[in-house]
Amino acid sequence: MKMKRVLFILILTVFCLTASSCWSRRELNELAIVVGFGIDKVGDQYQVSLQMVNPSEVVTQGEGTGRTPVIVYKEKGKTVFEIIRRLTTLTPRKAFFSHMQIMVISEEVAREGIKKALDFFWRDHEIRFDFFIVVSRKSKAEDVLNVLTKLERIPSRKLFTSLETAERYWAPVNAATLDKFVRTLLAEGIAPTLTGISIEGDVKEGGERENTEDVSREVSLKYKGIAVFKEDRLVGWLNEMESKGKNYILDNVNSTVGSVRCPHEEKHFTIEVIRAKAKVIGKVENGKPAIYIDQVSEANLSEIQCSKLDLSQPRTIKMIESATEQRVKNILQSTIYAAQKKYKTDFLGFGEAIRQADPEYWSKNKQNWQQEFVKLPVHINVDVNVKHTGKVSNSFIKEMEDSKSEKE
Amino acid sequence: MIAAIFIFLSGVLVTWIEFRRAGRQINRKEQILFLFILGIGIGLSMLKAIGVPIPNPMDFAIAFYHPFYDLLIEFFGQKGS
Amino acid sequence: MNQEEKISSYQLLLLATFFTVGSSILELPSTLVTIAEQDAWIAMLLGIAISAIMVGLYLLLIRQYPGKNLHQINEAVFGRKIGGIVSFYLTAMTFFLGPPTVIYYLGRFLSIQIMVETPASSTHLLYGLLAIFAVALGIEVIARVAEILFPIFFILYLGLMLLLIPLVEFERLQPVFEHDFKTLLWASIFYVQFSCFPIIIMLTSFQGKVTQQKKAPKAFFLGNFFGGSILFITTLISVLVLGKLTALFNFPSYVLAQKINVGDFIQRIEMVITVMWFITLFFKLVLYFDSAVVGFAEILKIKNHRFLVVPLGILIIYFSLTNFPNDVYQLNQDKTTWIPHSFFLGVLYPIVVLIIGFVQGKLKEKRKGIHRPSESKGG
Repeated sequence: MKMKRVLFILILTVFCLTASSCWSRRELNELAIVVGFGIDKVGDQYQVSLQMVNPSEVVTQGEGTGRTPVIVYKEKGKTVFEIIRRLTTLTPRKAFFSHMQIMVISEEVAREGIKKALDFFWRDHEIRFDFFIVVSRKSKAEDVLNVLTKLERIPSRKLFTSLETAERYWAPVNAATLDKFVRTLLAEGIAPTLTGISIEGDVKEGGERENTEDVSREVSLKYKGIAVFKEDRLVGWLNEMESKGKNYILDNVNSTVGSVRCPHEEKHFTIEVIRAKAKVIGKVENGKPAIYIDQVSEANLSEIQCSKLDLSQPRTIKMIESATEQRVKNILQSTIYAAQKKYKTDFLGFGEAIRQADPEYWSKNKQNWQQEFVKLPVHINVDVNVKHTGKVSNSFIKEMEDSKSEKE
Repeated sequence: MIAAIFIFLSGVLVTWIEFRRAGRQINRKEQILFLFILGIGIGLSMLKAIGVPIPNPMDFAIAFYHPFYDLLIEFFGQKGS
Repeated sequence: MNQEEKISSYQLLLLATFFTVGSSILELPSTLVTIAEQDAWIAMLLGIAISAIMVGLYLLLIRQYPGKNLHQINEAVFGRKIGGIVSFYLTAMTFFLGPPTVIYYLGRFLSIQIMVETPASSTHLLYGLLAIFAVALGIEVIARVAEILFPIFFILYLGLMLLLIPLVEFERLQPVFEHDFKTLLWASIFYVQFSCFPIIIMLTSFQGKVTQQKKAPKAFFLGNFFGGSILFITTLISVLVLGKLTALFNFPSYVLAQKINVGDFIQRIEMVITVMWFITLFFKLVLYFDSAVVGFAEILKIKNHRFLVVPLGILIIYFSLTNFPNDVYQLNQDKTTWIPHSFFLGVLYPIVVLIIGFVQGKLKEKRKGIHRPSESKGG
């Protein structure tokens, strides 16, 4: 009896020692926190660049040592994971990926197809899906990660937050996380897209610490255009107008602004869209597919340069609405042209709309959807409702013009 | 669609609360009037939530009052500002 | 339940003040300056004079028919059928045009100045529900709320106006009397249409509910006058501080509050004016709403008017969301419908009633000898 009790206590002690959940522990001072990840192609090998945080430089209290807030390490190899492990020969600590903010893929890699490079991120336990993927346009991913930024000390953090903000307040970008990208990659009848990033200014100067100390030094990172994919290969870039239209159609617009020409003058007014809703409806009539796009938005008038618009008349608002509707329609048409004629890839999800409307037709025509898609008729219906005109009704510009004409 | 269902449910809830609160004090006429006016409000709101275009009664009001307004404008010699 | 509701004459005064100030405290200076430019304050004085006469007329009306509300007077003067139609037209039209506009003003202000991306439906719904709650609790509660909120409102108002005095420039008033009388009268109509003519609907809610019957007319008159004075000072300060710029802004009082800066210490206090505006708009909305509920109950011959509160409230919220497609439509609509309607309601109608009542009284006197006109009941 006594023997049993002793044994019991012994076993408990062993459990306490072994099962105290400190097995694969990794203390903070052993980690190198990775915030940015870049993939390039050198020869037939991949080159991975990691942007890691220099903790002593990022702290807000106390003075830094004057070194850069981040360090970029790079290494070549055949597979991504192999490169990462090989990087331990370079880095003092083991890389920790859970705080990754951004992944930059160079245009070269994207044009060849990116699915090979992405599997590791999909598989590894440390990776979360909440970082954004962007394509570096006309420059290497490594160079993008090398640029030091001003307002935000960690460049990757800057890329993340500015993409997040831009997506909310400016239509022509689209922030894609890994899971979103893979989902569109897998889905039938829709092709993925990614936002492009480019370096403005001299690439070499961007990495110097002086870049953050000089107000006017013009090396900065900027989101530019949207990369269009066919399967996993990049086929082209959308310009600003086409990007805007793409986000309108896919209902990604939360809030944006757009300038429209005044009805009778060579001046412009600006419309701030505060709510936008778009529906892509597929229909198959008599065996022929067609797409109907319904776009409804609520907007405020936020800037007026026109001198002939009289805002005390309700019909002026009607005029403004129809001018804006025409403008939005043009934007949507340019995007549809880009999809059907320029790049011939269905990144607008028309195939999916048709599949939802008529699964039978879809399963029959899935194979030759490429040919069908190019000549698919698209009907656009745009409805803009202007609600408020801001703090003032008529612009002081109009008052000036009016008093001028009174004097004459 | 979901919004319309919510509006309908809130209408039902309001009716239930009101009838329960009043107990037996309500007479038939009051009940009918309550349901009638509530029905108009809830019905119109549901139609609006679904997206059915409803004519704006304000347009009729404007059409009705516009002649009188024009008379006033003429009397005061204003430009309708 | 309704018969037991009682309010004091002081509370009546406060309610009349709140009704008069209403939405005008934020918007009125802009309209007045658009028409009368630097003479806006003269137009305002003219408006106060007109409203004094008109309110006097309304008081004459209730003296002729003591203890009766507007709809009972209608029945007495026009007879059951025509009186019913007149009552219905006035009540329904005021209900349709009045309270939804008040809610829309609030929603518009919020979505322009403070919460741009919040959908109108949520702000309208919240404010509408508040009004439903208040009206369901009855006029006695509303009056007590007025008693609590008035000191807050008045202290904030006085503070704002005093802090604006350093910014005053008297040259902005010149030239005085640049505009002719007709223009000034036209401008003053924009004051009386909101603040004086519609105040007649308050007679529906209050008849027979004020504890000191004799003091009620005086309180009513003074409340209107007091509210008018508040608006007069606001307009005057607007002209003195902003000058002709007042016309450009939709909410000049808000801009005024933004200009306040006392020694880099008291500044950025424009939210104060938002609070004031919330308070005054609330009472305007609730008073319109309550009079509509009482009026409809009277017309439809329902004893328990509490039953109508929720359905009518839902209608108000619905109308506030759908009546106005955009700002410009609303501003235009406000002028074309509300000016004639308030004219019918506040000028034409009481005068006609007074004349008919007077003639009827005379006729009866002839027939039956001596008879007091207040007891006459038309057939």
